[in-house]
Amino acid sequence: MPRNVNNLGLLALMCLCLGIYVFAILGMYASWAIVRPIHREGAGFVTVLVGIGCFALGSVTFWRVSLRLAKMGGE
Amino acid sequence: MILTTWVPIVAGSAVAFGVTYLLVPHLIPLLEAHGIRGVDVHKRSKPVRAEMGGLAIVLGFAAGFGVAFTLGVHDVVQLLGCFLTILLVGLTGCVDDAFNLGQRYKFVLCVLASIPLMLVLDLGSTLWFPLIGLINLGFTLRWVAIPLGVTTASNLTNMLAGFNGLEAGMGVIACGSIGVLCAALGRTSSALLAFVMFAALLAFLRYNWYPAKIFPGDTGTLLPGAVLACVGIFGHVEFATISMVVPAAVDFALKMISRNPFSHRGIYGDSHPLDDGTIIPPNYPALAHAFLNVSRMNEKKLVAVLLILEGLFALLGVLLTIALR
Repeated sequence: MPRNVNNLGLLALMCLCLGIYVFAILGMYASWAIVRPIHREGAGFVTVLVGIGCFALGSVTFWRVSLRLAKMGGE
Repeated sequence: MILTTWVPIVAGSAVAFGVTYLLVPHLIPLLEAHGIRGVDVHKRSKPVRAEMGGLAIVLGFAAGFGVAFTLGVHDVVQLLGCFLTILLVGLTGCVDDAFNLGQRYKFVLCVLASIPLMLVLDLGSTLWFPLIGLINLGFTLRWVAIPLGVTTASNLTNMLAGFNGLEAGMGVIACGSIGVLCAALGRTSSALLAFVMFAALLAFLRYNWYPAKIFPGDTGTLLPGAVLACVGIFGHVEFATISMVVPAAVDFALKMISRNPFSHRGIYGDSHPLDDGTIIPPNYPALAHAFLNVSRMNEKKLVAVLLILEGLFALLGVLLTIALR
């Protein structure tokens, strides 16, 4: 398996990992802002669910990018 | 006032550090004599080391907490509830190390372990998030979020493990950061729990750092998560706690996206170390494997990278909680 992208690749992965975090918080904020005026009581649950969903989506992207980076490195 | 608050914390932490530090060298031959050992799969020579070292962390934590408790603490009932929950999770880890429990049994036992915490903590019904503020979760916050929080945090810290110094190192960073945050916010009772566990983990790290003389086992990997959950819930710093388990949660999410998420090692085998110490990861998604895919690394460097990542998330959690509250 190719594995020699080096430290820049590591930095990119770290940034992407932090990106998942920001993505989940922003996704939660957006769902909160949208759902709260419509259904005040249910907004909390929807927000938490959207947060988990964004997190899962971000994680998949993280893995795919890591594989892409590994291929870029070649061996 | 400051003296009466901080003396139990400092004394408890010192005792936790001392007891764990002195206990581990005696525990190693004892565990090895009873056949409680594990193979260090990331070394070429595959050395066999004592496992279940988390027992020393539990005992150090219990001794430190006992001393702090004797010297006088506030929120006696809540602290005892947290202490019981943490001990029960530690016990679950011991049983798992001894009998190799399935994932579902660990889940159920962690839920049962959170009962003392559920009974003593009345949190109201709101949870704080940055940018959003308070989210109303109603009665579910106490009866669903507490067992879910304890179970999830414990099992997450249990999953991102297996490299020398990783579990103890991540626990040190997370417990230290959340302790500082609680102290900064004036929540000294929850800070006490965090600092005592921080001290016990720091002492254990001395023996678990590369090349490890002892492994924490599930006893040591479930514990930091349980402490984080208890401190987060009790100290009302839930967001910071969630932030600190993000690397473990990413690892969990990655493992869940593949087939047979709980039997990866059986199907794909372990990592393959080369002569120069570089690790070739097995072919299934995991946080450590993602980093190993993009850069040639030995175990020591990989652990350093993961600890830096944990440090970044801990810093983010602390800063966002203080700045946006």
